[in-house]
Amino acid sequence: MNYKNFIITLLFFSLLLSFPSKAIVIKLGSLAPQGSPWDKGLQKLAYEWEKISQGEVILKVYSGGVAGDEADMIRKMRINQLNAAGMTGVGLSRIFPEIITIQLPLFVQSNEELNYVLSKMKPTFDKELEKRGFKVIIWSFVGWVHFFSKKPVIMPEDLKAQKFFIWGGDPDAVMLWKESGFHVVPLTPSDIMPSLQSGMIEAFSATPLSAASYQWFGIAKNMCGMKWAPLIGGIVVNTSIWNKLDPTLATKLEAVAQQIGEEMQKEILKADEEALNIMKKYGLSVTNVPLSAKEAWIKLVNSNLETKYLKNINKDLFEEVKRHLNEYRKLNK
Amino acid sequence: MIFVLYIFCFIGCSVKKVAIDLIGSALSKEKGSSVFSSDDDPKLIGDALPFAIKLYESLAANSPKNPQLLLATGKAICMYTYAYIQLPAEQLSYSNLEEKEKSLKRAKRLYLRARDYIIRAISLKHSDFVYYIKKNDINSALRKTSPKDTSYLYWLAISWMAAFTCDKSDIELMVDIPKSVAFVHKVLEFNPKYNYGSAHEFFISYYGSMPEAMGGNENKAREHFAKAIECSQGKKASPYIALATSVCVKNQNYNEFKSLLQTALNINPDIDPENRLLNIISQQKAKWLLDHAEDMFISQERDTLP
Repeated sequence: MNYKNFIITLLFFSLLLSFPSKAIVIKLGSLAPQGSPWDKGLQKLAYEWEKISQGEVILKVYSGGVAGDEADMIRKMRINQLNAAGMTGVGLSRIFPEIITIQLPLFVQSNEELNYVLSKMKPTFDKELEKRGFKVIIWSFVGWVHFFSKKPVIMPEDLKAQKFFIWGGDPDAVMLWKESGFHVVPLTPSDIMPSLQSGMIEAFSATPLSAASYQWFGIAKNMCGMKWAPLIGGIVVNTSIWNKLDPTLATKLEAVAQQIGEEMQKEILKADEEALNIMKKYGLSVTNVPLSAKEAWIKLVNSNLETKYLKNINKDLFEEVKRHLNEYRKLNK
Repeated sequence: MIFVLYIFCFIGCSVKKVAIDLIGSALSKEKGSSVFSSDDDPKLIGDALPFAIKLYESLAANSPKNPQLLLATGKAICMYTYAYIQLPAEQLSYSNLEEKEKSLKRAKRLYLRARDYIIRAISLKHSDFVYYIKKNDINSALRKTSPKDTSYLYWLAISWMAAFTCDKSDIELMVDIPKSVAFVHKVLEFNPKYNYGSAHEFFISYYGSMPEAMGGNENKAREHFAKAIECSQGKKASPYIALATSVCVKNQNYNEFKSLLQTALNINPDIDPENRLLNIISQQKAKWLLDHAEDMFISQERDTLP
């Protein structure tokens, strides 16, 4: 190689070195406020992904709902304006409605039951979501939903006697509550506080962490001790961007995401418990629900849930969820 | 003999106490702190403030019943923590996550220390204030306050709220937010123009960044923005930054974000010597925000955003 060729070759290689392969930027939207345990978990995920991929994968987190609500985030992901989102089970069931089966009221009744059933159903849910263009990288449990009310709630009649907030975005649920004899007021979550203050509503359902964070418990000072329903959540990535990743790298990224998801779940459960203790300190009263009252609630739920609310749900899949739950109960009698 | 010694000792102690009170009062007056706030060298002030804080604290320890001195101590801690701990920590990227968390934890601790000084100061003026605060009866706690307490209430709210902004997972501090909001409402009631519209600035960020379900309200944020600009005659950069980082980010309105920050950057810090340091620090923040806009705005085509 003569001197001229040597210089050209050197220049060629230095040019190659100065243009690293283009990083894949994944934009993730989340409703979690900045600095909250969820947001901290996502920041950690961004750090780990950048480190593992040596800068090839950049996760940009847009917290605090700046990417819109869950419906907006799904729409934006479908047109690639957003590539990933942190969502509750309600949001995920907008993509695959059968996910709601795991969050039905008074169905799964403990953390252990939920973990078991979710672990059994994950492969099916993952596959169905992937078919619809969404790759789940974290499944997590967000907390237990309870009733909060101005007057104590033990029996269904106690709740029927109070004006009850229900999210207006689910007309089937609104209809079901109405038909079951409840005085429901369909609104958006942002209306809860002013409506509690004005008396337009007297009760709502939420996790203890939400009731404390949004200060709703200051007006509705009674919490029904019965776990009404579990709220699950997850982080999904648009498959059009996920499938661009090298499969070996993708496996590593998913593994670390799951590890962080487990840590996040522990933090969130701790925060939920702490929220309950603080609310009690500030005057929240927790009512105990005896077995007879719980049976009355279960009877009410079973009377028309399957026939009316779940009429459009894949029956086989619901049966599968039920089978896993019964299996767990048999194994742990 | 013992009696004479006792008299000397008593006089000596009294002289020392009078001297401490005098120094404390001189330092705690508005003019005492303007030596810092009118400076044009943030680095110099950043180096000097820790020493000043320790001086305030030792004076406060020797003169624990001087509410003005306790307030000045809390204020100094708050100002230092914001400009030299919280702000730099918030500008660290996720690749410095550990350092960021550590600094924010430290900032939270210092804000709570400041809050406790100010609570002590108010308790000296209103003995039942703490009793009602612990009972979460804010109205009763505020019932006996008067316009003379304006600064105390403002700085109490700021330190308490700022501690929460450093650790949003602290549920106890989250539940305490309405207290800060009530204190600043009282400040507005006593003096709507307090400190060139500082109370309005608080509400720009509060109404602009809180979720609607927690009382967030864009219209109210904009109303307070207009009033803050009026009170400061447009000489302070901070109201522009408060609106840009709250409402504009929430609405993903990059054009307005950029325009507000550029207005903040165009303010001549020398136009208002009393707020010179705050304006310089705010402008550094504005510049950083413009440089990192892509971390806050999803769309790449920033200028085409509505």
